[in-house]
Amino acid sequence: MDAMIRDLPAHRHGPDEGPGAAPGHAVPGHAGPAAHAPSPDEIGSAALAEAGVPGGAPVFVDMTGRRHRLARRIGLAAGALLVVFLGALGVGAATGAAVPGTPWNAPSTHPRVGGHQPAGARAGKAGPEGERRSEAPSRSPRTAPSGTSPKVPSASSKPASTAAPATPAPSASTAPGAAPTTAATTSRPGNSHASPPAWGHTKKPA
Amino acid sequence: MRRGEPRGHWILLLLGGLALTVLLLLDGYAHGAVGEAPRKDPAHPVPAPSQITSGGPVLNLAGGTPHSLRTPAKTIALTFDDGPDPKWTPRILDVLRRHGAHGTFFAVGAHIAENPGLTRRILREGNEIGSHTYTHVDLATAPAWRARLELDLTQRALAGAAGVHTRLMRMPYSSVPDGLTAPEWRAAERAGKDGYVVVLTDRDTEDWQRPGTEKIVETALAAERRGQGAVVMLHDAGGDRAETVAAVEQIIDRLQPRGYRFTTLSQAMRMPAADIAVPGREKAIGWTLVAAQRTASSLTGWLGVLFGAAGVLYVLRLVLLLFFAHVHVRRVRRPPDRPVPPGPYPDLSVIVPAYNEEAGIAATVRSLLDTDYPGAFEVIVVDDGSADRTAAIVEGLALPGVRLLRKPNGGKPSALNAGAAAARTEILVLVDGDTVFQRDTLRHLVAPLADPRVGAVSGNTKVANRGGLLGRWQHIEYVIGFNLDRRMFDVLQCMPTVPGAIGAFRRPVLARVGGVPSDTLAEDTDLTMVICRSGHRVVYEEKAIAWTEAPSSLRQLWRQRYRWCYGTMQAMWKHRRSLIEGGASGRFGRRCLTYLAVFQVLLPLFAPAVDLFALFGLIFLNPLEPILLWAGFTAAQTAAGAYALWLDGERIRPLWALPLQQFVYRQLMYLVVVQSVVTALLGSRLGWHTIRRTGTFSDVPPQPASTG
Repeated sequence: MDAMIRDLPAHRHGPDEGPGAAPGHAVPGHAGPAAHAPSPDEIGSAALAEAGVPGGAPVFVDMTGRRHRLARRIGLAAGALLVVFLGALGVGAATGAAVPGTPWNAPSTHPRVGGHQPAGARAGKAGPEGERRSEAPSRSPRTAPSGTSPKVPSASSKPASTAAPATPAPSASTAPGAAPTTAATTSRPGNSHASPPAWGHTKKPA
Repeated sequence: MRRGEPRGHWILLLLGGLALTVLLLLDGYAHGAVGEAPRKDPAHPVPAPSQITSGGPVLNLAGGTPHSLRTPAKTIALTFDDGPDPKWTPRILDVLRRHGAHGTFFAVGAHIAENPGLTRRILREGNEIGSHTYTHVDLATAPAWRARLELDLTQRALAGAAGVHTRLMRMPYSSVPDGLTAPEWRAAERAGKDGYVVVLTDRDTEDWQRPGTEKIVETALAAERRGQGAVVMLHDAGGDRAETVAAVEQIIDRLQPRGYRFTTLSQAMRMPAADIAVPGREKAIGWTLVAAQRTASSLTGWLGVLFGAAGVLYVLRLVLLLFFAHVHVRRVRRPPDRPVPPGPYPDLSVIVPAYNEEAGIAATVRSLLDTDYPGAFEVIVVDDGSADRTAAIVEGLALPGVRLLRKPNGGKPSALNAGAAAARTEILVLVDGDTVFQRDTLRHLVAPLADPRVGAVSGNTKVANRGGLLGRWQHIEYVIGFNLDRRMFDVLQCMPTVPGAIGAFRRPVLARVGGVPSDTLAEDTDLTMVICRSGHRVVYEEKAIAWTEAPSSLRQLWRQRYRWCYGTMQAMWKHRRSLIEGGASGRFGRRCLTYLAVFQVLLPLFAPAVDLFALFGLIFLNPLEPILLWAGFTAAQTAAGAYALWLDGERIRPLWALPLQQFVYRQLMYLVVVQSVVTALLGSRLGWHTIRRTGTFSDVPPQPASTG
């Protein structure tokens, strides 16, 4: 009823239901009836008896571990990239972005900033145009040069924003803020821009 | 060489999933960006403080007390909101450049991120950029944290796109100082305290409403005769801006000859330049944001395509399955053209490989012997070096017709081959050590072998332990997934798997292909593929029923499916050459391997991303579409399931578990596929535990024969 079929040691493979061991390979001459002329049955038998021996490692298995090491490296690199990416986004969303402060310059003492050309040209035109809303003096960064600033008609104006308080970021600011065009402004009487604020008081920069 | 399942990839996948989620969120958030549109104004808005409403359009709030500036005479500061837009902004830039004019662009952060090149061009041509929030949110009604986030992100986007930060800010939906409401003023104050210069406007042309070029020009030129300067509000995005472009041309043409200058806002107000270069660190962070947003929008595009393609494929599969199932049933169940002779029934050998099957081996052997098969047959139990009492139990049964073979442990394929070598009959039936047959199973199983073209027959596996949710899901899966598929494979002659639980083979065929191969974990799939490739037909016999014990715990289920999936991939790879071969092998390869590759590997691999995208669509897009799609799909699957159950003569009731299956079971199967692919890529070698048998059949008397 039983026959002992011995397995030849063979190559490793991924076993289905047991710890790794050699696959089967029947030794010819297994116990059983005495040998007789091979019939087609037995030829099939023999073929089957020798079957199932893997030529090498099972499919996909890389015995040297090279693919594993390579994949590990790639995986670590990708992981690091993702962490850096998420971190940068997190920092970008969580921390505030610095807003460059805008100096509201004190009048007169600042050199004229490049690119603000037309003070002279404008002065010429502005004069004859008359003022607009002179009663509401907006502060203008173009202010009269030192000392000569007439009192701003702010007193007469509505208690509007600008007049009285001085520039927040005045002398402290290094930005060559607004260009004071010097002489031009004082020469234009009615122009609202010509009226500089009472720049006696300078507020601390915020 | 490392042994065991790979594990590190889960962290990577988690990170990837997180990144994908963040990108999807970013895209959804950014595309809430809309242009100027009518919004609900409160009925009686509370005006801002009068000093503001009567002041100029440019506000500085840094010092705690607001200061405002007015535009000098004969100076027009053209401002363009909501850009940059790839269609309209270049045209406006061209107009400005042609006339030597400059303007200020209050850009929306999301658009900056999408058009970094255009942003740089705006700055290059001497114009200025201010902030208009990231998604054109109404700052008056948005909570403080949102407002700050929007402005911060806009600065970051600007830094990433053009390497600058801006001082200027204009609130969306703002207009002239006169019209400022108290809530808007509060929002402006908040921004101002952070250092922004808040910009309103003198002349609101409302060009976004497209009133006509004439009207726009007229509003912009309101006080031209008096030579007043103005800040003019226009829009360069958010719709058809052809009128705006024309209007800008006309405004410049009319006013420039009269001595007006068209400058940037900072130049007009004699303020320092609005855009300041930033250090490298800011640029890097900003660039990440810009890159993320651009990646996100292309990602959602691709995911949408994938989603659509997956949907189409699944529907196609369902249709094909149902069609071929119908064909199969018609062919198999129609009465034969001529009466089938009652015999002869060929001699059978039933080969039972057993490894540590002491729990169920007795029931299996008894059920095999308790059959109505009229021909001669023997049962060969191959004890594959069991460590428990399997061999002793079989010996103890001492039943006639049962042979026991003992061999050292060598795996299932070797056991099967040993049993096949020891058998003397023409037909072999290979079963599992825990399968239970019905009385008529053998008779039905062997019947198709009367056709000499048939090389192997697949039986019909059914789940015995259907109690509990897991059992029910597997029951549904076996009936719908496996058996419906097998009908189609039978008709198309591309059967990938004759289940190891119940399969009949011709011995010469088995010998010719070299026996059961052992270099994959799914030797049943491997064997069937070899047989198909050699030109033999493999058919599905629905009436030959075998009851198996499905895994009852999640861990065991995972193990089983991992083995099946990985083994199937191994077999597919091993037989990949059949894709390009001709003849029967090529036909099989192209049909079977393509089907398996698409539906067992590719689609499940992408399924988590597609699911995430569906969730995204639910939240950010119109939720009706995904819901309808999902409902339609589930309905189609339920219909197919009902049909499959009915074909098999099963009750329809367990189908209620199908919609639930979509959420948990399907996800589990994704993970299995992912794990299998990673294992294959890494080339890991696996050590396997056995599936613990609980002996479902030990105490149950043999099943009665089914009808038919």
